[in-house]
Amino acid sequence: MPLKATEIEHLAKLARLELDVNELEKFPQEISAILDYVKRLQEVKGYEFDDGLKSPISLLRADVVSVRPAVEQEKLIAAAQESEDGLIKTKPVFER
Amino acid sequence: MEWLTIKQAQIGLQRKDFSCVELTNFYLQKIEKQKKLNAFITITSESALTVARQVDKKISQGQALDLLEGIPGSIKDLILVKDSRATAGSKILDNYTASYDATVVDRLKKAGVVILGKNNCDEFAMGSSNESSAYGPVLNPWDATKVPGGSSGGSAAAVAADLGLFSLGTDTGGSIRQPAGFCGVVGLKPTYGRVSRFGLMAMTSSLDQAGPLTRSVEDAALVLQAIAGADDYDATSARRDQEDFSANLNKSIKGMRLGLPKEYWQDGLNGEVKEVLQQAIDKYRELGAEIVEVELPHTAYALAVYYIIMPAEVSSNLARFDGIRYGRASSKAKNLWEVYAKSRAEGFGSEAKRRIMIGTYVLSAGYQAAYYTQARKVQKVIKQEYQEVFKNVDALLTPTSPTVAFGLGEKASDPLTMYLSDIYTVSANIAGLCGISIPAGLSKDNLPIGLQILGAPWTESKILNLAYQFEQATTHHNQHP
Repeated sequence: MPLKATEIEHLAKLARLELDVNELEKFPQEISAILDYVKRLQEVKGYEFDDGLKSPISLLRADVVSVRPAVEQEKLIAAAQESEDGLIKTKPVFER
Repeated sequence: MEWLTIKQAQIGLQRKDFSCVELTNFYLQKIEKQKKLNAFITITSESALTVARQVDKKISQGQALDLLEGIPGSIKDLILVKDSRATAGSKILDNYTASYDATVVDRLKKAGVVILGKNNCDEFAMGSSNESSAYGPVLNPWDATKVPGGSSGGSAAAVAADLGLFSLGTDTGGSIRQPAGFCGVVGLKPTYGRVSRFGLMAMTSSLDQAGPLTRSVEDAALVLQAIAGADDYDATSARRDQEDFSANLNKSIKGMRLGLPKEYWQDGLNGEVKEVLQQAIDKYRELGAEIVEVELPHTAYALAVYYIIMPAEVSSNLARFDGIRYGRASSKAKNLWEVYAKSRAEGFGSEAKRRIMIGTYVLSAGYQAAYYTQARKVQKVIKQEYQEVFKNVDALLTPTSPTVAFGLGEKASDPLTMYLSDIYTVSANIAGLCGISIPAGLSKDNLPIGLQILGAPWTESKILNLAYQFEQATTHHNQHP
């Protein structure tokens, strides 16, 4: 059953994607086809796992500040669209 | 200097048959000549020649070179090379320069390699044909009307066309092995955790692994040696004792048990591919291996597991491309929301958008249990199934792909058909296995056919041994486009 246009729009909103007319037309069917395919996993029944689905490996390092070269930080901030005083600038979060 | 292996190039450099600068220029010129293949997005000739000159200085001072010293190769554009452009095959990063080296690159640099450039790839590693790259498709060196495979299509094409001695690719669902198979080269996906992911642009953090594409099995072992090992910057990299991956290459494989999973050898597999691979299996019998049929009943679900887990993680990993921190931003954005929505809309291609949306769906409230959680459960079932099978066999032999390289544009219009080309490779990622694709012959149309050897986690030495013995007993690896 193909996803409705409203569902696609909702997903696009969650994903912070503005879809164009072509995509709004093609995506419902394409995405539905893929979701229909992966639905088959629901056939697999009867398996329960006591340990939940947690990975057995957990590696935490010591809780100390680890320093990368300062020039790296400068380059990273320089990669941003806009910056000022070592801070990255964005458009206002709250509308006036 | 044509069609060398890493070992042969090493010998040539030490014996002064050619200098490192000569060798580097040889490849740079070849890359330029073959630019229609579009295997490279960025060529780093200046830094390559700087390193080459340093190597030549060392040689002139009579010093011995390390195994990979002076060896020219290339890196998939999903992996960061400091001060070089890194696009991930996407428009959204066409103005991005890496500020640090990935650990794998750092290790290769310390080993003395010469980096020729960054290879073209499917956008953010999403694809099986290199057609989703924002920088144009890559052509298969064997037939320019065919795809090289993906997502490490540029890497595979470069190695197949002798545009370097190796390439470093990444494999999340088959992206090293499948293009290696389509291009007639060796492609190795290490066990998850064997190689650091620090500096790899994350696609599916729980599945991604970097690995070598080379023209010989021995070369793959050498590159793996240089990049493998725990990394403090990657908590998912495993702390294990050092291993020499080349040590067992020459061991006889007599008496080794090789499993043929019946689910991999049935419907959907192209007849000609099956025929060629049957001969490969016979060759293993000749070498003294015991061939047994095995069953992996949940194989049919592996692709579905992959196409839930992968998009879910992709939707999370690609959230960082917000038009603010790095990469392209839309000039049309009037407010913060539009900075996100328009920058991402303009910067990402259709495949990336599709997968982000699928991932968003399977993780969203109301659907997560039925899709994502269920996928993790089935993943565990599949993992355990392989664990059981590996108790009785040393490795598994399977086709790498159901077909030979398909035509450009042939599958581009139907995402699901494209996804099905990963059917033999995804299980290794899902189950955390290691796998290698090696050339096993050509089709009547002169297109390469790959044989895949799958090993239990941490058994790279074993699958390299199996691959090497087959290679030495055949001549497929000597065939060139």
